Amino acid sequence: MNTTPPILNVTQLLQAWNAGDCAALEQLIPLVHAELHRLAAGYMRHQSPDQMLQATALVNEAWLKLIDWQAATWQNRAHFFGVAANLMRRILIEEARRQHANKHGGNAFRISLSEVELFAQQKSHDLLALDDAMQALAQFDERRSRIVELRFFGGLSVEETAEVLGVSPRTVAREWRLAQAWLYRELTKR
Amino acid sequence: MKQNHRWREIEPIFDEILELPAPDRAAFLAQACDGDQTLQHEVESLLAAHQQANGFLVASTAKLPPVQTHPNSVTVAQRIGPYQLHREIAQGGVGTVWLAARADEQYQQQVAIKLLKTENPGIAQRLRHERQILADLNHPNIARLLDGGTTDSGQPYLVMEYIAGVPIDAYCREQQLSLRERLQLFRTVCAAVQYAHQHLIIHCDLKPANILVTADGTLKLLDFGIAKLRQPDLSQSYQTQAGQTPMTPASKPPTPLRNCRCNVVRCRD
Repeated sequence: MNTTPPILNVTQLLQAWNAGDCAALEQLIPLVHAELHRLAAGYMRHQSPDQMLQATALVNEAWLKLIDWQAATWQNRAHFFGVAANLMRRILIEEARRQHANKHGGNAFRISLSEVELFAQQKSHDLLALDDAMQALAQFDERRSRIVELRFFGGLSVEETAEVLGVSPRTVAREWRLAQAWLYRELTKR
Repeated sequence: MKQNHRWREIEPIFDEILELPAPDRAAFLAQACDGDQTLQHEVESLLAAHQQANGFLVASTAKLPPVQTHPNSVTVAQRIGPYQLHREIAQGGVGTVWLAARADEQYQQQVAIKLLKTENPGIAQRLRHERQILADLNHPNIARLLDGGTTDSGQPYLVMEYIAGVPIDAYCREQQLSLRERLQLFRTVCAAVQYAHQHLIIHCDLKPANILVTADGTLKLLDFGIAKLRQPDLSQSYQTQAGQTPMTPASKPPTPLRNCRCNVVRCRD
């Protein structure tokens, strides 16, 4: 098996991927996924249920752990977070489903969807509802759904999101507004 | 989702309305929808959601540390020597400037830390040499250089007195200074520059942004000699040559542009 320290691997893979090596991405995904999963599981085990999980804090922690960030560039960071955003979303949705199925949900965790705690009375439903709404949005506007994924689950700034998607920051900022309004409306219906 | 087939119609109207001042929006919406009640209602409901959605889905992104803009740059929450970086104040040709404070609890002091952007090898050695000279500049109208060095990753930095002020041109406008008052301020600038020249130090990047006036009317020149630090082979003499242009073009004096040496001659006191 591979015994190279992941910190070397991830940085090199990221650089190879940025340089156009698509196979590097295939190797990168499981490494990032494993680290994110480990961090998320640790968080859910040790935090009290009323504490909220900051998805992006975990992504950020994974970045700091996995990357030799002296050697990484701004573009590296944006692309890493671009990959991690999608993985984080999948991990959290899997976990929310599991807890939802597990009715007693002794260690249910909450995801902060907003500063004002719009859904404070609910728990893992929030995240599942958000995921459903994002999937619905992707049906007719894939890019806006991806923008939400990158910004919410990956913690990317407007500029970084633009870097990942290859569009201008102005476009990201403009498209974000409608995506945010549409999702808000979907999640507050009734 | 019933709205999906109208999405391409909704998008441009929604985007455009948000660029308009609030009083003009209703009229624009009515015109854009042209009597199509379904479309109008759809856009209205999304605009209402937009008003309420402030902060929705963005809370966690706000807590992230800033992006690295330079492979060797520092992120917030980092310390440099005894200084704790607080926030980035400015970004310019020379590098980034951070507001910082001493973190060793020796004493409370806010400082400005300038992280120099440079590709020059040997900068650290030159910096040590220059730092001493700059530290000797002791004038009430020149921001003090307090400290300096290189970060763990090798990026040179300077610790300066932090000046909470506004640029001289903005100050003159805001205070609506008379011509006499403006000239008095300018004389203060000249006196400080002359003092530095007597110490064989030229600024190389004098411009309004580097001349601040504080709330009590004190004038301070910032960044003396820093522009020059980025240039190669200047450690021996204080000369500026064309082609080495860290300076701000709009505020550049004619002499270095014409490839002349601008030596400073020290008068005997």
